[in-house]
Amino acid sequence: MSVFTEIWSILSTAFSTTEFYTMIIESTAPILLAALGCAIAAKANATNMGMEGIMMMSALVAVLVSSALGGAGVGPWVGLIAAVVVGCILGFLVSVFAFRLKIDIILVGIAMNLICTGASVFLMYSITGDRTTTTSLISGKLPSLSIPLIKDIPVIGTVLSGRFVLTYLAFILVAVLSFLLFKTKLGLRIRAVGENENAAESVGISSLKIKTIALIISGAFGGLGGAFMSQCYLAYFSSGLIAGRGFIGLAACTMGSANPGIICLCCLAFGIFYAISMFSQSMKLFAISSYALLALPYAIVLIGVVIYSIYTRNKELERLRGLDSEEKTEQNKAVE
Amino acid sequence: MEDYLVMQDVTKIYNNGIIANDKVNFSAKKGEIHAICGENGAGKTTLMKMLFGIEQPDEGKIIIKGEEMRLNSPTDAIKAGIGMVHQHFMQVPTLTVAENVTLGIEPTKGLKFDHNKAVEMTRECCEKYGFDINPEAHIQDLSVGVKQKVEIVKALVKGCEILILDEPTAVLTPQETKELFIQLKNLKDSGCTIIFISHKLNEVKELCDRVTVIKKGKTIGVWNIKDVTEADISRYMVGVDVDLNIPKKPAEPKENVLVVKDLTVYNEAGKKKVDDVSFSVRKGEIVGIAGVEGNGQRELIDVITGLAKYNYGSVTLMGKEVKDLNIHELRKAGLVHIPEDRNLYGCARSMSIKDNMVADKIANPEYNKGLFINESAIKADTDKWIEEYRVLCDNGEQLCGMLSGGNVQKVVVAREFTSYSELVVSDQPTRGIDVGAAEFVRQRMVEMRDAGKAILLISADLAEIMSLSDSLIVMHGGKINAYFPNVKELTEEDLGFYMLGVKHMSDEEIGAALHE
Ligand SMILES: Nc1ncnc2c1ncn2[C@@H]1O[C@H](COP(=O)(O)OP(=O)(O)OP(=O)(O)O)[C@@H](O)[C@H]1O
Ligand SMILES: [Mg+2]
Repeated sequence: MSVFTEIWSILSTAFSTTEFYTMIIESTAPILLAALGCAIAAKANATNMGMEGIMMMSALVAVLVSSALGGAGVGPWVGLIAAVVVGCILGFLVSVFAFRLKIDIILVGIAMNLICTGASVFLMYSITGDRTTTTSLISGKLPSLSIPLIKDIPVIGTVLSGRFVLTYLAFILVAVLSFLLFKTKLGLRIRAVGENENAAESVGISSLKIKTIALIISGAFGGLGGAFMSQCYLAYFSSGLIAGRGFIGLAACTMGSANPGIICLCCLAFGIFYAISMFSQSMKLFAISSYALLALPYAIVLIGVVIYSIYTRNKELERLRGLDSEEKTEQNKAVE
Repeated sequence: MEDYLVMQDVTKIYNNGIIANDKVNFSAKKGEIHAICGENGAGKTTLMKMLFGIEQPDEGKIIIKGEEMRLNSPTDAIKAGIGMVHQHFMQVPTLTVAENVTLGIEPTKGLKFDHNKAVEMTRECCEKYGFDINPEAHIQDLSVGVKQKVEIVKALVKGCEILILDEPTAVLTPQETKELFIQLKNLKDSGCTIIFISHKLNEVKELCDRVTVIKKGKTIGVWNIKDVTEADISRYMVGVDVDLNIPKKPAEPKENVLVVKDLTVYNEAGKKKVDDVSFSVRKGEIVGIAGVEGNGQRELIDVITGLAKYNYGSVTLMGKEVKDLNIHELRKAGLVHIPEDRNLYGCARSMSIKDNMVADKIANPEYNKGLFINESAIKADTDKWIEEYRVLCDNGEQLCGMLSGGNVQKVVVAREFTSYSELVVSDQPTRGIDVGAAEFVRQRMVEMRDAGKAILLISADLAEIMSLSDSLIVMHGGKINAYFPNVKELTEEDLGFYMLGVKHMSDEEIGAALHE
């Protein structure tokens, strides 16, 4: 079988099964959470490079807390809360190092990722005695939610109903974050600080405070994303669990120019490729290396970023052109 | 009228040991426009930063309405009724005017930022003080003049009773300045106290009621503006008489140095910015370029100085096509350039004054000893230039970034004027520098002209360009709109008409700009 016929067979089977669509939604959710977290930081002109590490650490903490409470009942919920708290703390730490101690924020992010990678394995090993996964612990999963009425619609019902609670939350947060950024006072201040710190300072806004708040919220999103991976996607933590989702979130955030709506679309696009890659692995086909398939989402990110940067450049040029013609009319008016 | 605001024996010593203010006394009455004048680095901005809570005084008192105040942050100052328009714009480009104006005092409705209310507040404030601004426009789409007004409205909307303006007219065109002054006078009539910092003494004379002069961090005195002349003020500032009229012999132009022929330049967006321009600059003359900002002067200068490329027409310096030379070769051919933005292109802020001054001459044999740099020769020369150009600093090792705005400009001018040159391109050479230093720079330009150099001068200061230039080109919409071979016959008003494109000259008259 040639590569092309194989791709064709994968795609045609994929798009005609409902599982494929649920896969898209479920694999979009964690990237989306990461991307939204990066977005609020980006709006405050802080690149949260540490997203990957924050997700990793909070995913592990969620598992540990939940299993300590028996892994059932309220356990996973308390685990979720613990994950968010850890995310907030790590976000706060990034802000302390970057803005109070004035270390380059990219370096802080990289350090955060390295430390979290090491620390999570260390913690896991000292608690479970296992270096790779926490499968020996019973940590349980967060429940799925079946939605009345919608669940009875054929086909669509099976896709839209019965997803994890956090999946729904991720998509709801798109709207919430839009509201926060564009409709509230805090959002206005975040955007103002992000674009011109001096301007904000000159009207009595503390840019340090605003950036810290933005990074804490960013961390909370990372916490949710981490918890999704270890309490929804899987029911345990492993060292390779996050697998670059924090970075892909960062890319999606950049492509979506930190705008939640566009970010959501970018994440869905990544979700589709994640789903294709997972789906074709499950079909056990051989003409395409499974490694190539695993690399697919990452390759798509790269192409996406390139296309995006060309697009924004053109848009900026267009804006300049528009300005020129406006200037003309204004001058003509002045003459009259 | 009693004093409304008093700053008593205020002292400020920066971390690096510079005493920026030394027991300065300053007071203002309700409803007056009070000017602060002083040389570059005299400490004007520092004094105002303390009044606005950005810096804290080491000693002294600030008393407002008879009450002593501690101003620890801009928030405190705003509460005390003080508003400040900074030397540089403090705005967020992608936000609307209303959002910028209400930033810090945002109206809210429940959880939401109330944009309608913000627009209303802005509109009300604009109407009250007679500013014509659309509150829903985005800052990035506004012209410099409108941005300056937004900056003032920002302070007014917070109910400020004392308004600080730090060099507000440095970037404005004469028309915009005129309009601004009308509005400032209205403000004064409504009871606002305005503190006005400017190096343009004619503006001070026209607008203000009183003037305080500061010199080297100390108060020299306060005068009613009626009782002093411009020359008096500059004498108090500098300590010696400054001649405000540059003695100038008629020019004796010789052969062409720079020839621009049928030049057309497109910008990045593919828009025609310079449209079929031809002119020449000869040895021994100063050619001025006047025009409202954004009419192609920027692009023209970039091309002449080798910073941008061109595809249509030709530009030759001493007979060589500029396009074919890199910046180093251009300089060797005799180009020197004082760029408009001193911080971006003019100097390296993290390098010392000395290094900045020799940056372009470091390869000269006199500064080298075999393989090594001849430090003592460099030090001797740069110390001489620091003195000659009156750069206010401790010594040549001080970093450029720590100098006051005007002193940075002096460093740039000193470096360029001491290089080998045939053509001097001076882009806003005296922007932000004090009268004394400005006269010195102008004097030098005339001397260089008399020594047979060709000088191309671009300046937004009409008085400067009219007094210095031997001949004048006016640009409008990317074209040369007028050419005056003899500037003496020209009035400022007439020049304004050509700058705005109300009047045009015939092609023949304009063609005379190119001497062949
Ligand atoms: N942040 C700072 N750190 C150290 N020294 C400073 C700082 N800001 C200003 N200075 C020094 O304080 C002195 C006064 O500076 P200031 O900016 O108040 O001058 P200015 O009167 O506003 O001059 P200009 O007309 O050039 O703007 C200068 O010698 C300057 O080098
Ligand atoms: Mg200043």
